[in-house]
Amino acid sequence: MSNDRAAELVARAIAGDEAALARLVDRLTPVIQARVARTLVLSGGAARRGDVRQQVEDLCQEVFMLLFADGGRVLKSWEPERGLSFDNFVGLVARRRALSFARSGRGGRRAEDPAPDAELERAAPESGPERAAVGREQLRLLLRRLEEELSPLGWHLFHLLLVEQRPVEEVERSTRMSRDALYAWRSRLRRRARRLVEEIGQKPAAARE
Amino acid sequence: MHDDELLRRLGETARDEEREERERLDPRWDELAAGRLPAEEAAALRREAEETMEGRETAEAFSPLGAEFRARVVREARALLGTPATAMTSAPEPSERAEGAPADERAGRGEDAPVAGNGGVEPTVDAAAHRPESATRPPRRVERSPAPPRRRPRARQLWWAAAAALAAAVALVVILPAGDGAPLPAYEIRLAGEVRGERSPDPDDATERRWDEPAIFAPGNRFELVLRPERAVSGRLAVRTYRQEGGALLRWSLPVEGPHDGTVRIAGTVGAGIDLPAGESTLVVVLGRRGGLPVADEVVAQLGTGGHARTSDWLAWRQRLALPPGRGAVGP
Repeated sequence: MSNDRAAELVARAIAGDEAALARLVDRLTPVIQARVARTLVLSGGAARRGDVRQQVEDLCQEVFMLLFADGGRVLKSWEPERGLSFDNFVGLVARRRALSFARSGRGGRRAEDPAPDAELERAAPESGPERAAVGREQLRLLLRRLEEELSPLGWHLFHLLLVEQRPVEEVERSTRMSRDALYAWRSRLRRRARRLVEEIGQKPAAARE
Repeated sequence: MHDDELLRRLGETARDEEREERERLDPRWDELAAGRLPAEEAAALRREAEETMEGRETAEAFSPLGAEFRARVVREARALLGTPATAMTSAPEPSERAEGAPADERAGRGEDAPVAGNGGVEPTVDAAAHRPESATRPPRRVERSPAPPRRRPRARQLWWAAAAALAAAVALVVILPAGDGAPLPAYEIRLAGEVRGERSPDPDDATERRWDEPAIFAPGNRFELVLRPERAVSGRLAVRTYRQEGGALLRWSLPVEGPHDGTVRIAGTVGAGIDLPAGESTLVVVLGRRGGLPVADEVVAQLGTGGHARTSDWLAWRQRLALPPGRGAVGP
């Protein structure tokens, strides 16, 4: 589905077109489910609770309600011109909700984040191979928090600039954002990451001065 | 090391995680969730998954959410958007499938009775032939919830304790009338563990509460809600727990024990298992015969302005809860 058609479908659904609403829900259910299921399965927490199916269903329903709340405020915040497809936008909303669920303890922690924050602080060694390992876990934890906090657009920009390492010129074109706006976002990402480091209470070993 | 280096390391970590995720989760699961995987491939994927517990869990997580789920979402979205119901056909809730029906995978997994929010299992690509039941079921006889009881004047003294607030047991008892021919007996419903702002000098004088009068809890306190029938109930029952937001009911995952002989217990620690949102929230519990649970719209309609509702197949109970911001753990 093209962005234009998705935008039209959203507008009609929010305006009360029953058929459009049903089509939109049909369209988004597998997108949301795939993101939620991935996040929960990889979190490892669902296994301990033994009710992953119910968790997936509940979370998918919550994501839908989040999208439609306040007259569809979240859906309306999608800006197709920024280069984020509709599916990816909704997928990021779903992923963020699932991450928050997993982190809250209702769904357990990521299997890769074996130690709670306090344990990380106590365990942080100053040097040697262990230090690198702990730093990696801390970076994963920091990444989760960052992903959970950023808007879909913020995470999209983080992904383009830092994960995919696209040249700024290319990101300018794909997001129709000015270079100044991108630098402002980068600066925002830095501040957010630094604040999260402080909140977590332990600098990632690899990021220490 | 500068913040730029921190961002660079985060990007590197994200790449590592994406690579690990690709290695760990077969991309065919996404196709299966979307219903796009050919039946043979879906069956093969499930067979592979059956070999490990993690695989079985993955198969459950990705099995497509079917028409029933989507119909429910549309109904609740409509309520949120304020769209009037028009020509939507009403599909049954997941757990309303016929008991013992072949598509009932949950029973096949040995789960005797669904618990809170367990709506059963949606049809999958392997089990798509689900027979909607609500269209053929005769209309239920509904007893409207009586008007909320008037609050009795009570000679209670305010007892706000700053240092050691009371974690009081016993909050309310509601006896629901059985009704003529109703298969479910009357139920006693008891909520305990709330931190009460007022305390009666007479501990017996604690039996009456309006549903919209919040029961106040604090992090760390024990929450316990017990629904007990006046006599043992035979047959399979199911329970669902919801959080009501406006006219919509959202599934609320709470630790439910039972039903055992008809008794259901929802218990845990506030903040650890019982995740109450800060501020006020409204809990709705629906208990009924398996296969006879109502859709969310029906629960809301039958509750009306009251705290409980009952039909021949199910009963619903509603209570406002409160978790005051900044309140620390108190009580034993």
